[in-house]
Amino acid sequence: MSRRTALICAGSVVALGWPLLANSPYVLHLAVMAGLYVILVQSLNLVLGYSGLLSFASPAFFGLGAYVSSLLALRLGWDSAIGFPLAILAGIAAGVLIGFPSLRVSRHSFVIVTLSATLLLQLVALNWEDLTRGSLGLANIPAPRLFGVSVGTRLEWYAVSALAAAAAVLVTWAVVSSRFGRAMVAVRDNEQLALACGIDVFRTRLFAFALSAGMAAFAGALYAHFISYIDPGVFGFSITETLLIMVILGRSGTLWGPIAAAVVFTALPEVLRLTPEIRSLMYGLILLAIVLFGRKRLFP
Amino acid sequence: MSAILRIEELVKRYRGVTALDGVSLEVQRGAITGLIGPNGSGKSTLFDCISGFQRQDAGRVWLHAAEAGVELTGRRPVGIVRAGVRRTFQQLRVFPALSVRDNLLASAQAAAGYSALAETLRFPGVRRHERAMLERAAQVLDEAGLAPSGDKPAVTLSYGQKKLLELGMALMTDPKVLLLDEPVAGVNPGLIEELKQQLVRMARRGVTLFIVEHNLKLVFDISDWIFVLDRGRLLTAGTPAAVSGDERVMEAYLG
Repeated sequence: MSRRTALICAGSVVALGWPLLANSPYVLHLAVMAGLYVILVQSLNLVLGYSGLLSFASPAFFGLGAYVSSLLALRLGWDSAIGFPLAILAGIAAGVLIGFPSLRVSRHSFVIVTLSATLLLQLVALNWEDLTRGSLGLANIPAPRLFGVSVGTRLEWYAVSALAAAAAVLVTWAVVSSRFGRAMVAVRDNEQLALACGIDVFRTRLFAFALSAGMAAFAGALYAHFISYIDPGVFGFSITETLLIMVILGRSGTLWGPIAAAVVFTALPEVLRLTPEIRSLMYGLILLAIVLFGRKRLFP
Repeated sequence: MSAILRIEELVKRYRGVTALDGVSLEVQRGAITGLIGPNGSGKSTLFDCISGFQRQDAGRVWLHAAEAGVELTGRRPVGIVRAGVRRTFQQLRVFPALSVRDNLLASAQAAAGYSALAETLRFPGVRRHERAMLERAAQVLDEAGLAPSGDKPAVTLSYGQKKLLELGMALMTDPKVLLLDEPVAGVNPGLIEELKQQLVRMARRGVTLFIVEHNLKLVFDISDWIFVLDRGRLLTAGTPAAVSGDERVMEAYLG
């Protein structure tokens, strides 16, 4: 077993075991959120790291998934076993819809289109009051029922979040280690040469973007049911900001780096609560130090 | 001999500048054909139009690989590669982050035509094709003398090795016609000889080569037929002996 594999295993055991041992609602809450961030970083890493596209549409898909699943549960009382897959499908559909025109134009235009898509969906959530209750948001989103079993306690949530994160890692691994993953990297590295090799650059990017959208929507759906309240704030750009920090500092285009970063950067701000007065300052300094000195980034 | 690539009255303008002004020519099957001409004469533009990287304003391109010809005009690069016409670039291009072997495999995978989903889910057909391509890659690595570097990222190769890799990538799918845009540009004399041998070997194996090159010695050495472009028009064409004796060619080069 290589040092790297050992490190991944040890890291996973600590990350998964610590919340169980700590057995505090607060730590479990953080652990659930870390699981959601693990899904989200995979989503952004597929696009930014492996496809070389800067997307600001993460909040769009995250929010869309949150609203779709919540509305299905609140308005129709549907089981999450149907609601979650539908949220994912909605994300994929939105990804195709946004990607289809924007991936044909330049990469700069793509950035702008993804930015606009997020703003547009936020406006829809704000103004389609009959459906979304506008800025009042949706409250009392029920705990997800999966095949009749309700996920209520924090411990159960932790299990769901960990499983969902593991599934997202598995899907990402399956994609990036496949022939298609190689095509993604080829397109990222040299678009012209990829074309000359007969690789369909547009389809490769569209598939990656749609898959990434589905993942973000899944994280959004989980988030809505976990927090039990959402408003148009879920389309906020703070998610993108956090995710960019995690993916870039974890080293985009690698599988485990951004995952480790997701866990670390979910826990770090909370650990810094020990010094509440200078917490934000500490966080900023740590980020700065990593950017300046952490050439090897968080993960070897 | 018969024509494998037929170009009819190709016209390409860039904002009023006419890069190609009605070029017609035929490339013979199995031959090495050279394309020379001073800078700005339209050589690379011609390659761009044949390979679908630029859309011409007028004219047609035909591939006569089988009995019935296929028209390449208006096809996208992906379709033209599938038809069997591949190209390299004036500026050396490889996939730096991929290993040398993966460069070869990435270069060959699209030819099988599997969907992203089939490739992600590793359908049996995909696995079979991948295995076949792995064998082919081992062979290409051997021939190019790159076998020891197979697992290294392509970015670590020397310039000359990258040139060899680029040729190997083009060969992976057994193209019918290979358009080479300055295959020996920037290469040291020792390696030029090696690349030359590679090119001759490829031609013997039945790959039709169409070569743009500023190294005239190389072009005159290996070509069976040479076309000379000047300011977007065909100046002359003929055997290396005939073209090298043509005064107009010297005049065009010296301005």
